[in-house]
Amino acid sequence: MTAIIECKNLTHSYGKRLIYENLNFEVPKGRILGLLGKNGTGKTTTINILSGFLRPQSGTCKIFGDDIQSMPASLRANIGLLIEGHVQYQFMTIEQIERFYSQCYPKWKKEPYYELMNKLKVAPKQRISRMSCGQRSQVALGLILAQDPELLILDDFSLGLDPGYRRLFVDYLRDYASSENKTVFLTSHIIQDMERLVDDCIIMDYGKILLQQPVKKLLETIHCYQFETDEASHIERLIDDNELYNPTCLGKKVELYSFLTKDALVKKMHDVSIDYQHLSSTQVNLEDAFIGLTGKY
Amino acid sequence: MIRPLFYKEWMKTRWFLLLAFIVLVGVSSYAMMVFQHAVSRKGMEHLLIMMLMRKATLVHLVKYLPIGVGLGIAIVQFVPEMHKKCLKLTLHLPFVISKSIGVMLAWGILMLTLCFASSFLIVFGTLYGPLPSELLAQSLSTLYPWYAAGFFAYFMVSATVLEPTWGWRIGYALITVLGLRIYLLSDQPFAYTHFTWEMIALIILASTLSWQSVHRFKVGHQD
Amino acid sequence: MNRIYQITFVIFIAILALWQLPWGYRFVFKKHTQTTLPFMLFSPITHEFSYNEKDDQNNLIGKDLAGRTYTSNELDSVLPLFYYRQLADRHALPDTIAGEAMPINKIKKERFIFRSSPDDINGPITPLYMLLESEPKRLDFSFPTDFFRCTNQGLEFVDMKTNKIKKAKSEHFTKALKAMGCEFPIIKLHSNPSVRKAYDNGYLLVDSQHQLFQLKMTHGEADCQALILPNGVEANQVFITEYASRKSLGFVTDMNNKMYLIDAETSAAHAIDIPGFDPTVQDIMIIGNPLIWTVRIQDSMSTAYYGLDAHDYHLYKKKVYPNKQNSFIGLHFTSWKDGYVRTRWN
Repeated sequence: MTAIIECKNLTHSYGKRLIYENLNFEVPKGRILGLLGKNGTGKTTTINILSGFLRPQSGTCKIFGDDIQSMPASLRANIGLLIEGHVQYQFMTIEQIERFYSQCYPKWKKEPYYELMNKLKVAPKQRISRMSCGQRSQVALGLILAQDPELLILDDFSLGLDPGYRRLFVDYLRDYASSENKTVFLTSHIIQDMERLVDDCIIMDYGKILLQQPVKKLLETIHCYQFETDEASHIERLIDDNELYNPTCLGKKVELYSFLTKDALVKKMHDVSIDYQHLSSTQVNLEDAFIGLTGKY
Repeated sequence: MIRPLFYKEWMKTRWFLLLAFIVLVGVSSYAMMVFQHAVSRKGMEHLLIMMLMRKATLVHLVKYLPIGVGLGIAIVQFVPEMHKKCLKLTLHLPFVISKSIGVMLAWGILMLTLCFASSFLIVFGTLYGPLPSELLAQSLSTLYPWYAAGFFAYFMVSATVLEPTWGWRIGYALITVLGLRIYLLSDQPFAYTHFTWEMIALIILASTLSWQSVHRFKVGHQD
Repeated sequence: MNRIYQITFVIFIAILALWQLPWGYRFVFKKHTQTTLPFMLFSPITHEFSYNEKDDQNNLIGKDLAGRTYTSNELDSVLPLFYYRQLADRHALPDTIAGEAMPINKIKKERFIFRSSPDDINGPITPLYMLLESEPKRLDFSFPTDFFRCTNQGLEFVDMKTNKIKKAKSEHFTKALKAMGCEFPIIKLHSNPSVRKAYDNGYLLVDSQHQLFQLKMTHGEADCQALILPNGVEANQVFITEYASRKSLGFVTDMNNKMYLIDAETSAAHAIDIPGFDPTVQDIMIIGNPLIWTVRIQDSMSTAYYGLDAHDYHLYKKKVYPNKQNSFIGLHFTSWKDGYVRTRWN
């Protein structure tokens, strides 16, 4: 599958604070990929690099085979960009902003835009600055759909939206992306929405990518294991094991996440001489998997 | 490219442009009405003699208006672009970025030219018939440094607003204040006769700073 | 492209720094570039430069450059033609001074002050001029109803009310000047375009060959004369004078910066015995009285005082004070020498 986005050896820091070093990832064509990570792991940095608003200290980032920093201007017509906060020109009305953008993009289709706008209960002459957060998000989404780009980059698409607008946004986007074979790269703090929407995910930890894989495969293979032990201090023997994620102990109860099977985990605990009782495993959703893999703190 | 960008700039600036046009044309017209009133009260001879002896220019009311208009157009054009970093939307348009910025600045220059030309034409049209060419030149020679100051203010304030970091904004603001001083060093007629090229050079230098601000925004400079 | 923006930014900062930093330094750590000199006058009694100064108790005491000190009353007597009113008030004004009869009316009539600064010469001017009627009815001067300008072909009079050229008047005055040998265009001219004066000397004109002429309008007609300068002297700058004594037409400097007085009666040019005066870069003040002229010439290098005889303008004494040089190099745009905004470097 051809990669729409290719990032190689990306390194960036803000002053002395290193964000990440030698980051590599690809986004294949036709996939919806979600970037997950805690605050400060570099999600916004990555989005800014991808959208061409931040020059990395080293490494390359290519979209459609062209370096984003030197991409021909006309190619940007194939990239739909949603800025954090659903930012749009505040001084325009719905009609004015459509009229403006329709002259900029050759493939402009106004029908999907007005279809969405008809759902909004706003006067046609109402300025975007006078709209609610949810209404602005619909304007932003409608404009992207009308632009009909090959790649959509959405920075925190659910910011400030109530559940209704979030659901509307996710449903529209998923249907559009899958029916038109579009590639989507997005971030959000609301992981339930990501779970409904994305095909693949990249989970970032401080300074590195923890994993990149299809969400379905992640949820099928990751387990949340719980057991009890009388010797809670022995849990330290599991902390440095890179196959076990964030073991936590509350009293006698221990919880950890892993891709290992139950049998493999049992063997591991015997190897480090940990006594345990009531070992159980549960299926988790994406949010639990994310917290389990990256930790609560 | 030009049409949609000009449309966007028109959306942002139309009300201020109307206000600026009314004020500039209004004040220029008022200045000329004062002249005509003085002529009807004291006679043309008396007025012309006073103009010659006291180096009166009849246009002193206009002095700071071009700077105000330049400043205002820059603010109404570029503050909305920097609000919540809307400039990213403009830079993401499928146009060469330097050309996009150029078109936006061209809009500002065009509007300033129209406003200043209207004011100039009112003064010229009123004074051309009654005044000998030397006294007409005395009035008009006082106007053009003020118009030049308006263009300078426009470019410097644009660069200041577009600059992403506060440290550089303060630097640009300082350059703006000091640079404007140069255009206001003397109100004497003909004082800037030997300084025309320098005034133009300063305006050109100032115009490049907007591209620098946008470049700094694009590569991610921030506070 | 980014390099270009950086270069222009640096150029901007350099220009503004070169302009404002020296100014700021002088403003904060200002030292006087020249000592404040007292107001000095040449005495016809002692033949020395004399002045007033404040002592430690803030009292005025008189002094001269020979080291003598005077009380206020004594200084009045040393400079009787300057403090004549104070002397007359105490009935101390002598009948003769330096062997010459000096009634108070003579003193009043023959006192004058002449000033010129480079700004007057170099500053921007509007090249339109007014020619007053020199012999008005009832001796009340009034402004004319037309201007004139100097063209390559002659003088052109423009009616103020209609802004139309007065062809007949223009031809008349141009012809009159040409008949005197004037070769247009006029390159320098000077007058006193005020209606508050006792009499009118019209204009002093310098033509393209540096010849000197006087132009007046008498009963509406052109009244002009060629003023003969000494052999080889080419007129440069001209200054009309209309002093109460009516002894002089004006001052002229030539191309070698020599200064002359034009006698009103004989129209002769009398050389003034000072080394040189360039009105484009030097400030001059002449305080004249029936016996003595005190001349002060200032420029960036020095302040010079000259005491001259008022009859034949020969030099009695001079005193030169060098000015402290401002060693801070910088860019500036205005100058006391002219009213233009220009790029200047020193």
